[in-house]
Amino acid sequence: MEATLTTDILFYLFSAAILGCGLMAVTVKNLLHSAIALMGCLFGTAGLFLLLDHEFVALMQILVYIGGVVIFIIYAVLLTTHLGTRYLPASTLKYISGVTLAAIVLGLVLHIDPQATHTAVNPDRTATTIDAIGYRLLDGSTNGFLIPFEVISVLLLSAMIGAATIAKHQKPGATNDEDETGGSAS
Amino acid sequence: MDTSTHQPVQQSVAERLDPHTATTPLGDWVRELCDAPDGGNLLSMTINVIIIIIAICAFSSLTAMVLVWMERKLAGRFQRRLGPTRTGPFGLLQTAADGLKLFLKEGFRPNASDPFTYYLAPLLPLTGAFMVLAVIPFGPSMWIADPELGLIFISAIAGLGVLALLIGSWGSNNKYSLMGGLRAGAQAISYEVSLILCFLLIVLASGETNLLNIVEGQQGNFWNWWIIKLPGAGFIAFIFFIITSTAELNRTPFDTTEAESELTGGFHTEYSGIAFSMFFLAEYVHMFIAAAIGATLFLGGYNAPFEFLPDGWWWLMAKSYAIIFLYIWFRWTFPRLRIDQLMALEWKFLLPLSLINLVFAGILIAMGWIL
Repeated sequence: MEATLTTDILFYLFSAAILGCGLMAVTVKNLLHSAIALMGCLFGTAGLFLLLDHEFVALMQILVYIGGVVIFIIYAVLLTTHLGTRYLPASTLKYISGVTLAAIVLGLVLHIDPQATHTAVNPDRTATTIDAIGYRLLDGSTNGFLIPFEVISVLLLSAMIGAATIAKHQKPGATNDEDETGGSAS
Repeated sequence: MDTSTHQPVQQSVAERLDPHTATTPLGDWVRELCDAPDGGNLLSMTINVIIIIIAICAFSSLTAMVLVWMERKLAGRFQRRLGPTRTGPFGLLQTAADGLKLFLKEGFRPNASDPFTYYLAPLLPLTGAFMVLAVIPFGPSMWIADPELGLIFISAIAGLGVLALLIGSWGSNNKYSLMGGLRAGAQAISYEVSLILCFLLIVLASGETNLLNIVEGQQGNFWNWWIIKLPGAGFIAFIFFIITSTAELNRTPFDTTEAESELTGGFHTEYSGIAFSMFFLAEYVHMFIAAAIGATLFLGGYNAPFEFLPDGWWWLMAKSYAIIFLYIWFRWTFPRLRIDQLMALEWKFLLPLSLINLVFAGILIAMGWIL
C-alpha cells in the first residue's frame, strides 16, 4: 500500500483508538468496561496490520484475540458477582510497578529501533499471502518454522488435554461409562 | 497442490466477465457523472460508498421483513393454520405492522442495569451482519468487497456475534438474561469449532479463501458444486454446516439461550421497543447470511444448476431461501435440546466426525477422486 494522505489519516485514527482504548482499559473501574475497551484497542491494532498489508495477521488478531481471549475474559467476568457495586482500589505499589514496566518496554523498543522510520505504511513490503505463510510454517529448512509450529501444536494439545482432565467431573462411586455418556443418556 | 485440475469446465465459459474486475452499470454511471470513467476520483468513490451503505441497509431491512413474514406463514402451515392473512394480501404487511408496533413501544431500561453495556449490545449484531454482507458475492459483478481472505474474514466476524449477547445479558442485570448470556457464550464458542472445520474443508477442496474464486471454481452443472463434487465428504460437511449454523443462529432446536419456558426470553428479557427490534432484525439478517454462505460454499453460489442457464444473483437468492426454508422447518419440527445434550452433541459427535470427514476429504483430494 502506498503512503497517501488517506493512510496517514487512518494511521493516526487507529493510533488514537489504540491509545485511548488502552488507557481506558487500565483506568476504568468496571472490569467489563475494561474488557470492552481492550477490544477496541485490539481492533485498532488489527487496523494497523491492515495498513501494513498484513491481512492475515489482522484477521488473526480479530479471530484469536477478540473472538477468543476477550470473549473468554468477558465470560469469566459474567461468572463473578457484585461486579457493578464493589471495586477493589489499586495500590500505589501496583501503579509504580505498572509504570516502570511500561517505561522498560518503551526503552527496549527505542533501543532496538533507534532510527524508526515514522511512516504509516511500509512501501517496500508486498502483501503476504496465506499460501506463503503456509509454506513458510511447514518449511523444514533454516528459513522455515517447522519446529516451532510442531512444538506449539504439542503445547496446545497438552493444554487441551489438561483442561479436559481438570473439567472432568469426578463423582465418588461413578463409573467411567456413566461419565462418557454424560447428559445424552437420560 | 495444483488447483487447476479441479476446474474442468473453466474453459467453456471463457467469454465470461472476470468477476474480480467487473463493474455495475450504476457504479459506471456515477463514475462517468463525476468525470472519472476509469478508476474513479474522490467524489465518485464517496457517492458509490454512500450508495453501497444505503443498499446494505435497505437489503437488510427488506430481507428481515420477508423472512419474518415467511417464518410466520410457514409456522402456520406446519401447524395446520393459515398464518397471518388480514394485513395486506397474504398477510404480507404483517411484518410492517409488527415493526411499527415495536417502534412505538416505550424503550424501557431497568434501574439497576448498566447503561453503557445495555445500550451498546443492541448495536453490535447488526454491525457484524453488515460487515459480512459486504463480502458475500451476490453475482459476477455484485459484491462490495473482495478480500483475498474472505472466508477467514467471515469466521472472524462471525465469532464476534456472541459478544453482543454476553454484554447485553450482563448489562440487563437480570438473572434470566445472565443465564441466557452464559448459555449463548458456551454454545457459540463450542459450535464455532465445527463451523470453521466446515469452512476449512471447502478451503482444502478449492484451494482458495477468496469467496469469488470459490464460487468460480464451482462453475458448470450442478454436479460441479462442492456438495456433490466431493463424493460423500461434501454432503456430510453440508449437513454439519446446517446443524452448526442453526446452533450459531441460536434457533430451535438449539435456542437454549432464549428458551421461553425456562428463561422468559433469555438475553433479551429486559429489552423492549427499538432495542429489542435491533436484536430481532439482526437475528433474521444473520439467518439470511448463514444461508447465503452455505449456498456460496456448497451449492455453487450464483452459478446456475445447468450450464445453458444464465448465472446471476437470482440463483444465490433461490439457494439461500431453500436453506432458510430448512432452518424454519427445523424450528417448527424439532423440540428444544437441553444445554447438556447440546454440548454433548457438539463435543462428542460433531467435532470428532468433522475431523474424520476433513481427513476423508483430504484423502479424496490427494488421490484425485473428485467428480
